[in-house]
Amino acid sequence: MNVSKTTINRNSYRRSIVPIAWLLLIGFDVCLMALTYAQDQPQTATANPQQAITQLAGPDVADEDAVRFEAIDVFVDSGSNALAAYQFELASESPGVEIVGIEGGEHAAFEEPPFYDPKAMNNNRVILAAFNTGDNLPSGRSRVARIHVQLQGSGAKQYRTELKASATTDGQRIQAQIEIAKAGA
Amino acid sequence: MNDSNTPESTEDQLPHEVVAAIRRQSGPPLNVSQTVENAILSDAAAHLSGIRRPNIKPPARQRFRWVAWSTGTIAAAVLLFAVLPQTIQEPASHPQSMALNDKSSAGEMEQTFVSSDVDQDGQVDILDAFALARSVKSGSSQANRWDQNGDGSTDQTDINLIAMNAVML
Repeated sequence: MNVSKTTINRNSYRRSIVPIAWLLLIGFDVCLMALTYAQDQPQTATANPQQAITQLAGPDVADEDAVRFEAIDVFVDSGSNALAAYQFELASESPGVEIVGIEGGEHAAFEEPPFYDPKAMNNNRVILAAFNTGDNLPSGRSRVARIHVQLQGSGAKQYRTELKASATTDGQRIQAQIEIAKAGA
Repeated sequence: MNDSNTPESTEDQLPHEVVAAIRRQSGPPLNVSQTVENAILSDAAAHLSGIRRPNIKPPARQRFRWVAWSTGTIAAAVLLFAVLPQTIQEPASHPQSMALNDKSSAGEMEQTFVSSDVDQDGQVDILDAFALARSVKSGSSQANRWDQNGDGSTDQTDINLIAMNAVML
């Protein structure tokens, strides 16, 4: 009888230890994931993402296949800080938009065309970036780039912009706002 | 075989004397007290319940086992998807963050990777090019660490390489 009881107890112990091991593994997994996400958190915070959706009005055209060209001005508002570097992404969320040209901004510090991937040409998405190590830098709202697009079809076109980085003279990230508008509007 | 000749019981086939002798030999019926009977029954029940336990609730136990196994497998899969891409794809997600330097040494090509994450914030963006440009401008010796094209000096070309990496689609 005693031998049977010992066997039964051993079996019960073996049966209960498997779920406990799994529970411990799950707990370990959860902790590991929490740690991973916690490590990711500061990166996203420092990435300073500033997303915006903007609609730019367009004319109603009779011929939907006809193409027209427009220029989009990109403004960065760095407030009281001097803007020494910026990086943003612009993507069209409407069909019939192709990027065909990129120009620099209005301020002397950013009048040269910014860095961009040539693959952005004839594409609907581009990442633009520029910096200046000089002392003559813009602050407040300043046009940093102009993007030329080829449009097809009637009506407004929607664009998504995201300011991925902006920094002042010493390289410190600063809060800034991005805005786009039709050139000359 | 005649069914009408089949006896009702084996006792009927035996002579009466034999039956009486057997009854005498087996003695009177045993009287077991209620206490002893209860003790035997409870002992047997305890023993049998232990033995029969796996057979009593097999579906529930099996279900629990399945739940434990599948939960564990899912957790392991989640762990794989959550952690491995971040650890393995870290260099792959920034393929342009590494520049290849080819250095000849005794006829052998030695390859070393130079990171583009100048400001060490875990990502390559224009601020890395800006940081390197400021470092080069100030003449810091630290700038030599970021020789992207492996020409032995850190200059505007290396800064441009990092900036182009930052805007790659």
